[in-house]
Amino acid sequence: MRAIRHAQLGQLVTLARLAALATVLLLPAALRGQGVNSVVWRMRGTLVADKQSANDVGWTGVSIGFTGQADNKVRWLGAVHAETFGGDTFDAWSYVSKVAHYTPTFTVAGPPDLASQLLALPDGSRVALEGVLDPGARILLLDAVKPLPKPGGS
Amino acid sequence: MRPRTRVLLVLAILGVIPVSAQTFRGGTKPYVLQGKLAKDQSGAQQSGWLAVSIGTLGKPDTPVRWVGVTAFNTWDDDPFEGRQVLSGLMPDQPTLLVDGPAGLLAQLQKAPVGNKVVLRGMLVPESRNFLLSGVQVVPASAKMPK
Repeated sequence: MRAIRHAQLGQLVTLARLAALATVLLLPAALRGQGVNSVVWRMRGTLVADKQSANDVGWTGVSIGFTGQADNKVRWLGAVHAETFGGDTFDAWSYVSKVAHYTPTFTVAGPPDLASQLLALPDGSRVALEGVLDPGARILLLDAVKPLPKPGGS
Repeated sequence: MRPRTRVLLVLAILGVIPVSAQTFRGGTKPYVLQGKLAKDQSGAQQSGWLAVSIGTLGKPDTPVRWVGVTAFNTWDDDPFEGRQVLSGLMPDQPTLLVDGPAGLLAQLQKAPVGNKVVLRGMLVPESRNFLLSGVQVVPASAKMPK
């Protein structure tokens, strides 16, 4: 009797593992089928205090949230340039324009050191953000946070 | 009022000392504009960060082309200055007045609405003249070659 129960438990564990594996393997394909692709992303702009300032210094204000932070903890970026892999500004504009009304527009999912670096930059900083963006989920996984020189090279 | 302060005040009134911020013009330099050709201003507003109209220098009867700008950079890839300069040309119409080789002007004039376009040239912000040195037109569905 105990042997039978043990065998049934083993089958359940195997089934659960297969289900987990199938989820991991098939979910990305399912998302791609819905037109949700991750794209290599580069965006440049000026960090400012609020939405109004972001719209004043950039083509559009982009708000950036952070996982693990309070919902209202966002950095506002006056975006002056956005491009996907290969320098495509057309797709990049399309992605931003579709989600610019959300706050936050994008949520930084990490890594923690780059998220902290972005959070710590003072208002007025010019910055280039590079990483991988999931436009559908509006999640940005940073690869680099590059402070840029201000006008006059300071 | 101290004499020194009085002198500075008089100089400021006479315009010898600039007391107000000057509009940033950026100077004459090469720029690269990327955008999508639209039928009109409304279409351009829906296809780029900024809707710009492009007329032809010395030919006021030539129809303007509307472009939804997705990037405007200096030759050394500074989008901050690019945005500042292009925004400084607004809201006058047309935003830019192109000139240059007849072939390039014709290429821009004939490019179909919806196509992507890359314009390279020398911009004189004071006169809004954009002397074209390159025009690249790509179908809307095609990727822009690097």
